[in-house]
Amino acid sequence: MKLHDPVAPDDALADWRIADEPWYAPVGGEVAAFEAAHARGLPLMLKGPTGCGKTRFVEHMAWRLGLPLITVACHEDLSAGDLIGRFLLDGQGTRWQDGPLTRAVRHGAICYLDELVEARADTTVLIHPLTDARRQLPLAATGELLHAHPDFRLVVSYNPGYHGVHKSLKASTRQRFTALEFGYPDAAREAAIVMHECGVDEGIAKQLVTLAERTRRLAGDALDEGASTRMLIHAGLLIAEGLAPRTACLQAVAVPLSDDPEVVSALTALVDACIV
Amino acid sequence: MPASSESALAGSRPLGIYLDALWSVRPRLTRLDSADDRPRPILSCAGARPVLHLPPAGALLTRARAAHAAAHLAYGGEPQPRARLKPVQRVLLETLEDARVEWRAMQELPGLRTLWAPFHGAGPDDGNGVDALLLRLAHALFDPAHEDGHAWIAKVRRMFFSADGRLALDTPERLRDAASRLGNDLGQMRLNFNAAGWRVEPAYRDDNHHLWIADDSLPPSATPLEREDADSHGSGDDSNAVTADRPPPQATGGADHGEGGATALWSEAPLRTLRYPEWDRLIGRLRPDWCTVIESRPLNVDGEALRMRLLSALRRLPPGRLRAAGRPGSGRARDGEVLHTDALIETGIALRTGTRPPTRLYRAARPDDGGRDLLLLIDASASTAQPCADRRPLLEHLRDAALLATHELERIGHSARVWAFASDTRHRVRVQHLKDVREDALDARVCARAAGLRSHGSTRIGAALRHAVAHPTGDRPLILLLTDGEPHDIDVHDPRYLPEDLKQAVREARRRGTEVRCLHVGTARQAFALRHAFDPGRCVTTNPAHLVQQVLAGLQSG
Repeated sequence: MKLHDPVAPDDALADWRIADEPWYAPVGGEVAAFEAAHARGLPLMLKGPTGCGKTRFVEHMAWRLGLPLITVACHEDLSAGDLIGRFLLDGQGTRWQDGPLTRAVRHGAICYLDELVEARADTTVLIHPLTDARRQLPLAATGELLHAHPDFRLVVSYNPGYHGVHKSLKASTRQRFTALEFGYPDAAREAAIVMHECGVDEGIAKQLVTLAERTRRLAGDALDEGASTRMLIHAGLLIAEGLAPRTACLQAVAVPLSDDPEVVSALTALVDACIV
Repeated sequence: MPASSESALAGSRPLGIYLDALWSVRPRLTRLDSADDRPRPILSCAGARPVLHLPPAGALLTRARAAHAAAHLAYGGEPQPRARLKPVQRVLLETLEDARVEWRAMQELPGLRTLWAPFHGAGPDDGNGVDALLLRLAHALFDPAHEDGHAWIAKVRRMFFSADGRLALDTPERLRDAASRLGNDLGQMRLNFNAAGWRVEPAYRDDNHHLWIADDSLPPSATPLEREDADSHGSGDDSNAVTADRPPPQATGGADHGEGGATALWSEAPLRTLRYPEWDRLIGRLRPDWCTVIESRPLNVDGEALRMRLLSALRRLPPGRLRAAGRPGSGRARDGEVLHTDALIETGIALRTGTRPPTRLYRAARPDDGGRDLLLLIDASASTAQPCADRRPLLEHLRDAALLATHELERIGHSARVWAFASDTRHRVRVQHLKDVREDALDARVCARAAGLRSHGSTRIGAALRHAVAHPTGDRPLILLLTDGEPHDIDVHDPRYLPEDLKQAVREARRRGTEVRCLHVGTARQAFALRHAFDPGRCVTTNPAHLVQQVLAGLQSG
């Protein structure tokens, strides 16, 4: 395990530093790719299905590079103020409160915008001046032009699979990023991940992976997406906690995957076929 | 000759999904109606798409049958010639092949053993005839832990499995050779085999007809596969094979093709004609190019009276009706980007006077990104001709509400269209454009078209919805369906067929990024199928009196 310098007492980003190594099993050259983008200060986009390990990878890389990580889960109501900051009122009057993006820009951290495509378009364009050579963030409310700290990095993720046509990134945003494509790990690696994360034995892990592979065949038809590695980890944790494997798989995989009773019924039969 | 009917197989969609997930196989599932008291499933692989005919049975037996047949599709090989094999040798080969595909299936999916095991119970108590030995053999090959004790069965097992427990008979040639030799064994044991009375056991296994190349020189068989061949020829295109050979439950022949429903009301020249798929819940698939949508405009009539009424109604609309859309500066919010001046002043006063300051200090959000692409889809079927409490037909209420709402919503930056639809079998789903994007809802030409709208025909919502979804005109499309009833058409008798198609169409729309909501005018009981088709909260029931407000709410919420 790599150890980093102790946190300075006046460290504004102390809460966002990652002390312990987040476990991550590389599947290809993504670590070197991230490090290269980091070395050159290039923004990075991670594309891949839900629950395949994008967020864990970013956490791992932040720890590896010794940088604080500020994560923002984007959603359709995410406003510019939520990212940049806003004036707050207190007994003395108004005071400015940095938002997560501003904090990362000002003090130097990786700002990770998870599911960027969910954010409104007017929010997305905020990051444009940060993603080119200018590396600056104008704060209209305070009149401040914030130049990015040398350690500031921008990483975004999104899942191209289930978004509709109106939920794709604009070309003007998309072309500012270098990108890494993520997928589900191969069966052996995915089983190893499940074993590591849940402490279940190899037999159970393989059965869980078989189940996930089967559900992924239904993606785009009966299901929007198949079961993610995260779902398998949930199932594995329930099994490690003492639930019967079948019960755990119904709770963690079959029932959450769909609200359509017929699909859930098919998934239940599938669990019976895959899990003993 | 027993024959498979093409009738419905209850619960076929979950079963189809199940098989698709197991091995990516998608046989067409049909119900096998047979006079036989012990019918077996029949798997036909002769056409472009396999067909699995399943006798009516309980859920577990049906699942066991489907999984076994699917294992044949996943792990089976090419059909073999019957030549030179005696009946008992053929049956042996079938038993070995059943065991082989199941063994491979269970290696991959161990839970299948639990599914099939309850059907295997044969042992020495069942006797030593050929039928009993074959049944005992099936059990012994299915379960390597089962000890039967019969020397011949032990011999077969030694041939079937290698010393390390793997499959030894793993090629068609080896299987055929083994079946040939084992058949000779039975002959030397002086055991007679009655081929005519033979029935595949256990009951979840299919009749294995698909293992053999069709032989026209054979006498007519009790097994109807050869007849099935002609039925499932296919055109080479999988989906066409599905659509060509089995229409959905139809009314009398005249209803499907006749012109009896067409009237002068619908005789306008079509703008264009397009074809859309339709979901068949029985086969669990879309039938491609199944419905014909005819786009048109209603006949123009004098719309001035309508226009005057709409202008009058507009003045009576309650204030604040557009507040939900968040017009600039229209309200306060707990969170936002711009502080609300009045709220700040009140806060300052409250702080100085020691009273409680307001909690909503920000201006409410503006409408998102300059507005949405809205489409109001009005059900203009015959039932909308019924008069409401004010004696005006329901259709007029739906139409007026749609026009008023679009007029209001365009004022705050949305773009909106109004279409009406009605169907007359799948061959004629009429979609009429009352108002397009760049037209004002209160424009004289729009009112002239809208006034010409008449109630007619049925409610094939799925086709109309697919047409609407296929033609967005802007960002974040939202379709609001205005209807008084459930999906229905005169050429469909299955009450679940069109509701399931609607559900599928809504699902497709969601995948394409189009939001679909429904405003149902009537009683909540009538809306059961509609609510089933839409996401929770996306189908609201109302009455004509509150229609405009509900349309505005339906288009602005969320």
